[in-house]
Amino acid sequence: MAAVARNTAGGPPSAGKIFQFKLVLLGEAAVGKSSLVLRFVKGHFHEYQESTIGAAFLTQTVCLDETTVKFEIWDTAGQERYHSLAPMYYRGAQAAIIVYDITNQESFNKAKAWVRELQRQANPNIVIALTGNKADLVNKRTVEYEEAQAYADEQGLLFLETSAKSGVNVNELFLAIAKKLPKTEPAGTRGQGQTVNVNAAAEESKGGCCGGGGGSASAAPGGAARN
Amino acid sequence: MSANGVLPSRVEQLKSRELLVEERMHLRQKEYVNIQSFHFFLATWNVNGQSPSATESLEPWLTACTPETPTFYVIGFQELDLDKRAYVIETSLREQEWQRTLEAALRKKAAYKLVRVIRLVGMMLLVYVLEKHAGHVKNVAAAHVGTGIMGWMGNKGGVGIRLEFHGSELCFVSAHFAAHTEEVERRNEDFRNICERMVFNQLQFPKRIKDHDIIMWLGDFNYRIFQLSRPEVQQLISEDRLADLVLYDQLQREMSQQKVFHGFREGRIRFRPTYKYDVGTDRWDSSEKSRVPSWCDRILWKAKDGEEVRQVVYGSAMELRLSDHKPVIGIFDVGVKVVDKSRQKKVYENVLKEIDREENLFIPQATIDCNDFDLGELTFVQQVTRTLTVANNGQVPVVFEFIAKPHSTSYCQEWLKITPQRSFLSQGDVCYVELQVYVDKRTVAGLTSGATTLDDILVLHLDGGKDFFITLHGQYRPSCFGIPLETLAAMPTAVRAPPPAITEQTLISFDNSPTTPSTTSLPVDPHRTPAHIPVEVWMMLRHLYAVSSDIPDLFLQPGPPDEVEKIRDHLDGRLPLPLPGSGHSVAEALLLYFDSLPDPLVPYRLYHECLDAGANWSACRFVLEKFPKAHRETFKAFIVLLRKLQRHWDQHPSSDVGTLEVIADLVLKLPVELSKALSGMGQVGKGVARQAISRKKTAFLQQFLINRLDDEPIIPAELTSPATVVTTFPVTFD
Repeated sequence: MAAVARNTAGGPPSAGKIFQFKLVLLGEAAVGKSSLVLRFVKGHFHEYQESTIGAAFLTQTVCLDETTVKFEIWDTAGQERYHSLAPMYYRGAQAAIIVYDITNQESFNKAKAWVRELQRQANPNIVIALTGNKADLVNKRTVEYEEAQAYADEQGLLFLETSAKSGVNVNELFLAIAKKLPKTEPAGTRGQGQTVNVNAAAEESKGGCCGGGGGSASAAPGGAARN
Repeated sequence: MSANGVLPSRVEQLKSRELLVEERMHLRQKEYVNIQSFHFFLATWNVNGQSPSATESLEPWLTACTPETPTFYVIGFQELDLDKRAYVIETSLREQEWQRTLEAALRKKAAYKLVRVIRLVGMMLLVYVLEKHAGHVKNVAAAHVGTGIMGWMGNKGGVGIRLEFHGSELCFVSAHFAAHTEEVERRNEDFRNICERMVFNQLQFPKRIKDHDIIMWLGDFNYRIFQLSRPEVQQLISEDRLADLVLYDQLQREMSQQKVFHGFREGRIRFRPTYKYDVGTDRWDSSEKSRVPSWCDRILWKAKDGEEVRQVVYGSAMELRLSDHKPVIGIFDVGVKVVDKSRQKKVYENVLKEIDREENLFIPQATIDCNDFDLGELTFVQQVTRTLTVANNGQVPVVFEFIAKPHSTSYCQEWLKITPQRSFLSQGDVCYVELQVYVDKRTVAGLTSGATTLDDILVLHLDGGKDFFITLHGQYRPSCFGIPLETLAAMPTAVRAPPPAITEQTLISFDNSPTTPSTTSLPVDPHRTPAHIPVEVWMMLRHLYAVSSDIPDLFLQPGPPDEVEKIRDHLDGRLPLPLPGSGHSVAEALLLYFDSLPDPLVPYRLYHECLDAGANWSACRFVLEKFPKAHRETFKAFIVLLRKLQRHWDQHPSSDVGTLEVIADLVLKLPVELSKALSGMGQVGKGVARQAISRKKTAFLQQFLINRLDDEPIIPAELTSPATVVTTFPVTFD
């Protein structure tokens, strides 16, 4: 049987502390939400990733210097007809990645709509990361990096351009979120009473609008892919 | 993950994950530790109750025998205090004296820090570490076990200190076993007892002696030299034949027979027996007892596989003479696991990845064969069934469940029935889920008005895993059922065009003029539908009125199955009379029509007024005037039919007074708020209230059956001529 002793003898000084967070991916269909998750979790990329009809669930752990963060990732369907089901997944989430496709202006507009919806409806302390995916398709770019960065700064969002295909900035994205998440409670108590099961009723925190960002705007480390 | 009581809570999951990580890290320790050798100085001395001597230095014992500076000093004493008061007094002066003296001696060597001291009566164990290494000593704990008088007193037994130095877990036990040559078995028993009973429970997860990488025992174990007389022993010692003498050592004998210290090692004994001397001398015991010299005082160790422990010195300090025992020294080079932080971090990340991979592999998985069901076109009381196949293709059993969406209380629309809604699937198992769509009286009005549609998205949740979205879509084909009386009465054309085959035949037979697509109505016969009564209702009333003479027990029994559907199609096409199916089915259809109305025959807003008017004919008439026209005219026509039927019922043996009540219940439907209030009442109260309401409803109808209105419609008694307006175009609603 392992003992607490091994916390110090066997692992990094505080590596024993695992913080668990629920993270949800939102964004228009075909912007690469599932691909980002697959790249992050399994290191794979499929050119013809099947469309998600439902909400996929995976877990992945990220090691920081002082702590360890375990993400419970809900990758949601992007199609508009499933929009009304999204609250099931962002409710109770501590982090959200809102993805758009840098070659698709409409997907960026949709991403902004998601930001507004989360600011209205989600947990007021939710950490939101705006992500411009398909950064490898720079020749077809229609959403300017500066435009998205400015929007993210204004709204107090993390911002990165990623490529699930090449893997650029994918780990950095999750790492940046892991760093920004508050790690105040011990792992044992965090999550208590929270819902992982989307089924369970979670209190809806309304009115806790965090628009304006509260000055916590920060770009993720590593810089975005600017080609 | 859901709180269904079967799966562990998140907290438990996280805790067990942390433990799992620790366990894996421990297993892979080799990958991130370097073995670095450290000097350990162990010593034991039975001081026979003496205070430290003012003149006798401890240096020959503790510092002189090694040129190196040990990282650790581990010193055990026995018989510190022979005073009986030592049994009860927590702190003994003797203990402090010895500790001070010891520390004074160590200070000459280097700066040491006391890691821990533990005392039990006369036994004391102290662990010191070089100050500069103190930061690497963690999770220190101490424990003691008494095995003396009564089997638990502290005159005999052991004291232990465990600690972690870098990545190695070490345990030191200083013991004093039972005395006397013949008590070998008692000594063995003392050892077993201490092993069993010593628990370091100050730790979050208590540890026992055996749970350590390196275990070292030191002390007065009291094993003697046996089978030789004292002169023989002295002879061997004087000839320096210690190796021959060791053959007669009880401890070595017992160990070779695996009766004690199983798996332990001891260095080769090259020092004279340490017991028993005349105090102050190096002479063997000259007392009356004249003890046989023995190696009572020993140091043994045991290391787990792969651990590096090398004894450098095993000896005694003959120069110390204040006790009848000589102190014993053991110096060891111990390979300690020193963690390489950067390598450790890599392994840690690796372990987490591995656990993630396993965890993701064991997330419940399933496949479904379809996530988009086209229900086609369907109408009132038409059943459509689709089958969804759920297959468990994952590594673990699956519990799946259809769950409610945000802002809805049910997991599916009212017109849908899912069987099973929740189920368990073993690995490789398949479940066929039946999706039954059926529009009945509860849902028809909403679908007819367009307030609802035949669309739904189901969320199929795998417990602890993903969700599937399953879309259902169909077109509702309107039927006269569910259409409000007013609307239906105002409709110039049939809800639906009759199937072409029927249309042609029947239309020609009605009327010899050729049918033209633009025709909206046919010439009307004398039996035309009275104003404000829907054609479809009039058709049913006429049919029932005409057949009532032949079927006296109308409304008293149901018709054969499926006939209502045929009647529905006939009505929706406004096809000529007679209606298909038996009279019973037509009666059923009429009641079903009333039951499906969004606003019942007696409008909800007039419900209470009607109930209150029941006893009074003029009040009844008065409230009837308030009915919307279609409701009023239909009601009157229905009364005409009922009056005729009632005559038959009265004569019929199977007649049931309940029939009128059933009809009254459909016509005077309980408003929603009232039905909610009723369901909130107790069983008895509910029954009483229902009876009272039922009496009032029946009374209201009875008034109209007994009395007669001047302008009641006349329902023809025969079906011979076409009574309906037949059209060829369907009507759509919005």
